[in-house]
Amino acid sequence: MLRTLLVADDALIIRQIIKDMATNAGWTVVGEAGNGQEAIDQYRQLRPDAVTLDLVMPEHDGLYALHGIMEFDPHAKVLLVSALEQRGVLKDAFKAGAADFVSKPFDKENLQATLAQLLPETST
Amino acid sequence: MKVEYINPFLVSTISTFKTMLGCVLTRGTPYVKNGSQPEHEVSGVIGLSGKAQGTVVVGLGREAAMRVTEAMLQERPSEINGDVVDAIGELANIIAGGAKAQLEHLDLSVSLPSVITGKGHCIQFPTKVTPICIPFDSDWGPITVEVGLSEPHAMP
Repeated sequence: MLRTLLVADDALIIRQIIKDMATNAGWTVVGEAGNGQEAIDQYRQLRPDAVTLDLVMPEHDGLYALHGIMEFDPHAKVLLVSALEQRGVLKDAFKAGAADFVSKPFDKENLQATLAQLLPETST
Repeated sequence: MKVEYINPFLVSTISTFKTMLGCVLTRGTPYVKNGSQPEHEVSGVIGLSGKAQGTVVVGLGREAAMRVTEAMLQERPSEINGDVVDAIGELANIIAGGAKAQLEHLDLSVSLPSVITGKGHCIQFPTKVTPICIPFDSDWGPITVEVGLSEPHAMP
């Protein structure tokens, strides 16, 4: 079963870490985005099964991207991967439709398990 | 600088190394940084602004910087290269971000990280700031976190 993922984070190295973890867990990473607008554009183009989304990004941030993605696809599975410092924004993000949250620093197992919960076997 | 500003950086550093890198740090005794010690080979530098202002420096030796990068990318770099710079910059970013969450009352903003490389360099702070250095020991060698933070109204 192919599960596709879009990874959005302004830090190249964090995108690389998430890609490695997701690939090891059986995901196919179909795209990357370095800011909020790119995340929206990539989502619309690639229609991935899930997205990992950093909240703090330049130009347009993660909350902007979340709104754009959810407007395009109300059923989008968006996993926030961000620092706990963003707890004030988290409330808005969950209200906007974010599926779950993993705080930085994250460990591989936690990220992989949370990603897996986004797409339970029975729903795909 | 208020001593209570130090603990969030200490906790965040230990947590980041353990959770994200699988490296256990042993904390040494924090001390007031004086002069040109400690020396580093790779430093991640982050500016903080808000109700307090200052700088955080995550300093590592060559081996520790290489091991951090290897833990993040699953591949050991052959030298201090762009991957190492990215890894140490993000490391500093995550440590500062974690500390910021515990210092909510200061309403801090975190700058983009800068990374300085070069054997034996030292980061100096403005004379108005009294930086505190937290030394850590690890299997990857010594790691230090220097925090120089001041509240504008408390400055002379």
